[in-house]
Amino acid sequence: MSSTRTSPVSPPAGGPQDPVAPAATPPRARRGRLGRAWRRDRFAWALIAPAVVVMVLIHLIPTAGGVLLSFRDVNTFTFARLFGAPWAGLENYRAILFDADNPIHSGVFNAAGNTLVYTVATVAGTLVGGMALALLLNRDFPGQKVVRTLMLTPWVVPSFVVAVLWQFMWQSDVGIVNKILVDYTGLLDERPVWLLGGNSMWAIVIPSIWRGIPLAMLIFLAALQSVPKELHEAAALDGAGAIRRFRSITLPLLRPLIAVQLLFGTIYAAYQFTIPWVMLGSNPGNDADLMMTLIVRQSFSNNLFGIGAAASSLLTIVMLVWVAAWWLAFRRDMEADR
Amino acid sequence: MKGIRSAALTAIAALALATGVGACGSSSDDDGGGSSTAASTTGGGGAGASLRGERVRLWIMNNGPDPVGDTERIVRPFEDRTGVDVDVELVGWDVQFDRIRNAAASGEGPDVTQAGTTQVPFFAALGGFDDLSDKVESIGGEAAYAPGIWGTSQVVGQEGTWGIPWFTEARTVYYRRDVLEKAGVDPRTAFQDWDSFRATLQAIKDRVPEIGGQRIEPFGMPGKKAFDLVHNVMPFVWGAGGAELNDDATRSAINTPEAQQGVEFFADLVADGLADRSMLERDGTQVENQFKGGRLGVWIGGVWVLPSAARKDDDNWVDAARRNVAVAPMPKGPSGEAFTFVGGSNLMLFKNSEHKEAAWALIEYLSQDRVQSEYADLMGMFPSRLAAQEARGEQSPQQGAFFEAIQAGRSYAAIPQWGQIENAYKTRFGTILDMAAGQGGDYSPEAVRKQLDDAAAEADNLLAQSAG
Amino acid sequence: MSMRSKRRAIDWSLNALTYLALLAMLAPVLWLVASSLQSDGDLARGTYDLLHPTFKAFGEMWESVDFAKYLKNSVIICTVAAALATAFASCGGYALARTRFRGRAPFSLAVIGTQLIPGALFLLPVFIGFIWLKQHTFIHLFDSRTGMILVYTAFFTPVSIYFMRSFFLAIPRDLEEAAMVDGCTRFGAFLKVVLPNAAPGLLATFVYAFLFAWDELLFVQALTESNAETIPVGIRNFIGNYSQEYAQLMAAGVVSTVPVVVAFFATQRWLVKGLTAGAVKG
Repeated sequence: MSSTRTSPVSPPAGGPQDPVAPAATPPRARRGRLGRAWRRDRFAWALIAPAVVVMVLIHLIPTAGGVLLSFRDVNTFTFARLFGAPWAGLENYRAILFDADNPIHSGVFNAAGNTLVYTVATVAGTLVGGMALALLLNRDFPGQKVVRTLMLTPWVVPSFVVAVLWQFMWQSDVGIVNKILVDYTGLLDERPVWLLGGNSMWAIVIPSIWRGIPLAMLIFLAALQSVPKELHEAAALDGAGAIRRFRSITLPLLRPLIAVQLLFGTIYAAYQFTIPWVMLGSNPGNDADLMMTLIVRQSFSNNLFGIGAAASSLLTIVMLVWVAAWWLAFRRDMEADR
Repeated sequence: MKGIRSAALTAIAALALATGVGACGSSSDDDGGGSSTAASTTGGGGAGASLRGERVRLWIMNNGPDPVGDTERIVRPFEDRTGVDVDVELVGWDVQFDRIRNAAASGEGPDVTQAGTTQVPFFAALGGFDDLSDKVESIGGEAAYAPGIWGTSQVVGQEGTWGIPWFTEARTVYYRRDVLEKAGVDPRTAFQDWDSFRATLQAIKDRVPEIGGQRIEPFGMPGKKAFDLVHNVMPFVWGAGGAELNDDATRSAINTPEAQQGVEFFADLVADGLADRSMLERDGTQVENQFKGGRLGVWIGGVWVLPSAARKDDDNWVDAARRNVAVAPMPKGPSGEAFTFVGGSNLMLFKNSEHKEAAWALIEYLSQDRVQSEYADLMGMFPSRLAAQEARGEQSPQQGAFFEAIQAGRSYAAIPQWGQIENAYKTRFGTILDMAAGQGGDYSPEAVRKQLDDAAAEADNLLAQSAG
Repeated sequence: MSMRSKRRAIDWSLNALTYLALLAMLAPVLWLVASSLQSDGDLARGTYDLLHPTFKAFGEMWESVDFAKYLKNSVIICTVAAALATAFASCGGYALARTRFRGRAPFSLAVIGTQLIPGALFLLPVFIGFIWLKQHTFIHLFDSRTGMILVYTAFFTPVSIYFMRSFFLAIPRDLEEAAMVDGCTRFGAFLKVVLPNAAPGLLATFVYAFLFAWDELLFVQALTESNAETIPVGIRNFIGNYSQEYAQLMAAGVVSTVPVVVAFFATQRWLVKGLTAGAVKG
């Protein structure tokens, strides 16, 4: 029995492409190519059936319903009619995208801008912080196992707890953050206000980074530990400094991982809801209103479900474009190492 | 894939239309005058016996320190007398709006629900509630309530009586006697009009930076996180002669010069350092606890806060605040009048309820003057019925002051879109206060005007909504 | 010798830096615990009395709101949903890893696609669907644990499929081929040979799904009323509009974190192996 695989370990990371050349099939199943293909398909379909069923029930059909709603004029008066509300065609989309007089338009663009800032800041902070911590922990030191485990704690604290906790910490007069910055260490003279105005974006970004670093650190650390020491030693012998070695050896090897983190990180950040909603309320203000808080607010507090559905659809389209762009940029990394 | 998808969509649409989730529901209003014979407020055996064993679900919100316990205690005599089992469920204020709306639209919910007075028109417009006009006569009808209170049961553009007033609350000025004394201000004139209000706060700021070893700020109010932000600002808009909407509720009036003057008076307190800007980060209850905790000299709060000072189990109060708390009427504005925001909660009966007789009997019971007074006492609120209010007003000078304020109180236009308009105003007020606190843009009359113009535009859009 | 002491100095300062970083990362959690040991009044005013901790909040929190119910619902819903998601994802991931079946590309794309749809878009239709089912059939999904389990299974299966797929790719085909030669069916080989080998992956997927389900707020807020409320919804009841119990809220936060922390640290060895399977190269 021969296998086309040479190494028993090492999966390539991610990517929808597959390294599949079916190995020799057992004799009793050999019944001609068509029969084999059909049996293989049936087997696969049976396996994916449960997943497909739940996805259709909860994702597909309701999403179609939601998109349908985006074409209807749903407001306080027509809400009870739901799918029977008056037909609005593309009016909701037009109001969001082009109607400069409509506060929804400015609200959506404002939230979109905020979401962009939030996503970039959070993902950048998480990746950089995760990498930095992984580098720091990638050595032998006393208590390393315990430290590595404890470092993962922020990730397991539920996000609503994070939001409530940090709201307390950010309070400008009695919160612990300002107490440390102003009273205990004297780094600042004046107490900054975190929960209002421009700083409210940082009030949600920093806990998000804090919560996201552990997972990134974990994955980078595992990867760093698998980089063969010989590579570094050889390069060091050739005179390459630590930074040079990092750039030329470590980073390229980690690129696929960074790419995956980037993708899932941006998706998670763009759809962030709990942290601003619980920390700052249903209306986080001009500087911290994200797309999801706006959509939920317009849909559920103002009964403008049609607008909410339209905004959601537009957001999905933007994310699809981003995923396509990501795929173009990182396709080679995802397909590497066959 | 495509064929299946469109078939599924058609099926969904058809099903949804056919069942007409919500308003065009199945149960019609078929309970005629059956309960009117049992309507005597002293209660009796007659119809009570026929209700035995029925179960009424009642949704309440956090009305006090122990909402479910207190409510259950209040309804126990009713349960004993009629044999009806009242199932009291607590629905938090932050989810009640969604829950009630969903229940009304889907027909899936309790029998009776509490709702904020300003929410009644919206819920009524959804079509999921019974018109109680034929029943309300049995509890005295319109004459049993002060005009402002009765108004909260009506809806502009929709005939009928939609919510029976349950309890009433009003917002008034709270202050610390000891702080005013130390600042050398006479409480009798401290808050009589806007100028003296400001002067009082300035005096506190100058002369009383701390009292009894604790730092104290003159004034503080919550910001955009408070669900009742608009209730706090509006009295000043009214005091300046402005209003939230024009007289026939067809256009927003929040960007008139008078309204702007009122908003600016409030925001200027923040900009001038008389109101502690860190209070803006908090919601209403957190600021209430700051006052109770002795960190504010003056505050505007609800009627339920005063009685809580006498409750030993309320450990948010510090001794100095507990001993020295006092109330005063709202200050007169440039219009020459003072206005108090009056709110509270009403009881609404679901159209799809299967126990309407029992549910109405419960509402009747809760509308008895004695029960009204008892419940209001437990909650620290004011009763809603005139007779009970008068009795309460005679209990003490402070209660008398609340009573006067409520009689002259004011609320918003009873239109279904009010909730959303309030949200639109809340957003803009929140931004204005942030600017006044030095966060998020320059604070200037032009900037305030722009925010109010935006608020008015959004409100006008909402007012233009219709049933298509 | 100065080379050695220089190295030691660097080592020492890196160690210190590491422990400082750990402290910084843990500080908010420690603060959470400290807050739960204060009294409500203190927290509301923002005055912390660290020298006199009190466990009062941990006792009161069970009475102020029905926290036991929320906890029970969360545990049941999240455990079952995570288990189901793991099971479905294993099957789906195996199919993706091993076979080039017809419809593979659309399936893969659909799996990714589900992650891109904002919850708010399909929340209301799901809600309407549940209500309709409750009113017209015997299927009660609204405000029921079953309904939430169904929703969460659907939510977390897609990502789990990709997880499991990477694991299965790491397991050589020799194993199941040997089993099939010995007379196993394909599915039998999957169950008896492949899955045990992928145990770390299964565990990792389960814990991952459990963590996310434990956290979810938007859907459970809309789809539950009084029976199936979970902790993220229930915990907000500590903050009423007329009374607020902050210390109890913090205590509830501690209590809500404990099960996930326990689950996490108990399985972290496998979880780590699982999460990093894609990272390790031969």
